[in-house]
Amino acid sequence: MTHPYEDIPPEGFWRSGVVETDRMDWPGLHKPKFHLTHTTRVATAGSCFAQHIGRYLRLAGINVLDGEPAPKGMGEELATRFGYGLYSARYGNIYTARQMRELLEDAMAGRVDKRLFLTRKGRWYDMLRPGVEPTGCASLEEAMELRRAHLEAVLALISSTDVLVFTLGLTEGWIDKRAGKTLAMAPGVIAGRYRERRFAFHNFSYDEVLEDLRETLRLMQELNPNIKLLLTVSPVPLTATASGDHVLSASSYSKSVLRAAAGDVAAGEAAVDYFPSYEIVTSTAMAATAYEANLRGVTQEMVETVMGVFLVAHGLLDALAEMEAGETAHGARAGSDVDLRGLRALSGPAETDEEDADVEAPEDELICEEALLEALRK
Amino acid sequence: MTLPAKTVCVLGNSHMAAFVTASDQWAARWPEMRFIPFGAHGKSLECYRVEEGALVSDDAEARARLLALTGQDRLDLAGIDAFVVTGLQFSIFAPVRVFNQVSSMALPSVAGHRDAVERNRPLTSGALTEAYCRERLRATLGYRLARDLAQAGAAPVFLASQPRPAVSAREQGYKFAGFTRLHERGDGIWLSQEYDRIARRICRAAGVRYLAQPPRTIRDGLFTKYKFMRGSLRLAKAGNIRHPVDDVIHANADFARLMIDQLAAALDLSIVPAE
Repeated sequence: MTHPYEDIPPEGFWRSGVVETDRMDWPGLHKPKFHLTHTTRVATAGSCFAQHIGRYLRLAGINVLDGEPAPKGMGEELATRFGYGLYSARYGNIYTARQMRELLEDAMAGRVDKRLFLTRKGRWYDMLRPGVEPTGCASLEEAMELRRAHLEAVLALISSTDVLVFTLGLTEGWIDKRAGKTLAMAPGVIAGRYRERRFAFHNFSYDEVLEDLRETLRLMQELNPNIKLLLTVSPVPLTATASGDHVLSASSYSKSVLRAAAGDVAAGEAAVDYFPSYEIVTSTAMAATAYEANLRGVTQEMVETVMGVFLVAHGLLDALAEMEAGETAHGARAGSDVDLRGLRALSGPAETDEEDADVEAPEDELICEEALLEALRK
Repeated sequence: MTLPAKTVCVLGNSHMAAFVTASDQWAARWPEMRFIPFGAHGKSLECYRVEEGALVSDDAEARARLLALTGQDRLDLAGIDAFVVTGLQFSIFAPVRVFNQVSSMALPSVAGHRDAVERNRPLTSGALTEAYCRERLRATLGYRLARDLAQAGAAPVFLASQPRPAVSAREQGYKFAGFTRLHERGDGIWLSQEYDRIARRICRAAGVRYLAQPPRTIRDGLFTKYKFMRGSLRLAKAGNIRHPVDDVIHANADFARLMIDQLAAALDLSIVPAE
């Protein structure tokens, strides 16, 4: 060897790895530490982008668990509005690593703190998942009992999961100083009222995120020694920042910290892997097609690319090919040479009427409370 | 002076028979109302749609059924002064099915999560169960037909609650286990009130008027008293074929008479009691 770069594979060089590569498949980008199969019991959690991941894994025939399924026969729209089917339990969006850690701590301790329920127009909201009851609860008792039921469902879910796919979204969070817990949303946005003495803004540092992820893994393994953690970072920028910085800088900071912490946890733990969805979407090579007009929402095409890379890496495209073969009415290609763009035809509501079959889903169909912050802009 | 009779069209499925029988049997009771039926068994009306001022269908089988039973296979909406939609699954069965799947602390018998676990029905919020009941009622053919008729014209549209099952349904085992369970836990009266409240609300939002089951016909919230079920007639051209004695679904003409009284009152038309 004349120099240390001599044996580096093509994906190690920008030109061959990015400029000249197949940017639909991104060969060599993701080399899974552990493979998902069709029998792997997968749970999903995280920020809004994780909803795409769960949906596409289901479409690919992966056994995505649902610890709190919607009542049988309930319409998809209603179920989604109440937080069913978005993730593997009705925890709503979990934006920070600290929230995930605290959810597990509470579930394991069976702890429900009444200080974490706030009101709006006489209705009670669970500030750790305010979006799953869009009109709130009739009483504090009801809201607390629903949380008790939820925590038991989370325990059962983690105990029976092989791989938790957790998508990190933010480093910025709001802490209830009295209860010592990280809220899902800033107080006052969905319920409650912001009071400086009670609530504090906190921008989690690299060390904190790293520690929270390690503790999350430890808690999960306490419940289920064989469980694995697959981390991703959401490529969706912040809707707003409370840091005082420009939102562009704040986004960059947040995603950088999450990306670094996720990578380092994955590097140090055999049971943790990292999937580079963030890199695929935010790559300069994909700049023209990655985002919707609002420059936040990821385009359907890009989500398909991301999930295509994931499925190829895990050898899960066979099931998809079979599904596409059965979807000839949608004009998708059959066979093993699967056009991943065909996923779009498969990604609509499960019970689509025939006459609606060629109607595309709305661009931003994710349930994302963080986007509510946009409405607060002056 | 006798006013010209208002033409009331009764639409529905097998539950229409009670209205037809009552309107024949006590025609003199409602001198200002003239009834015309339009419907057939099962979901025949599912094949109909409102189009250019008429209720029409492309389904030859459905049209044939309507023609055989009512003498017409399309309904011109003009000239009708009121519509009454009966049966067609708009009933207390919808919320009972909801509470067969889930629990809510709105139920008098459920104090919390533990009760729900014991019942093997996950705890959900009262807001969710209400939204789910609304969704199920809105999905019924009765609701959709009433809504479409209301959107189509100026004549008032009434949606009549299908009768609650007979008290004897409790003896029919698993088929009505949900009703029995709710009754035994003391949730029947609450659920009955909740059903009427939600039904009234979604009807109002659709520009439809809700005809609730008369309280004097109801027992324990969830059931219809036997005297309003016995001797119910089938929907048939002959008009005098009774349902089997173990039928617990269909009400009789006495029941329909009370419903038509409600209708007359809502339309501000006279009711002439029998001598």
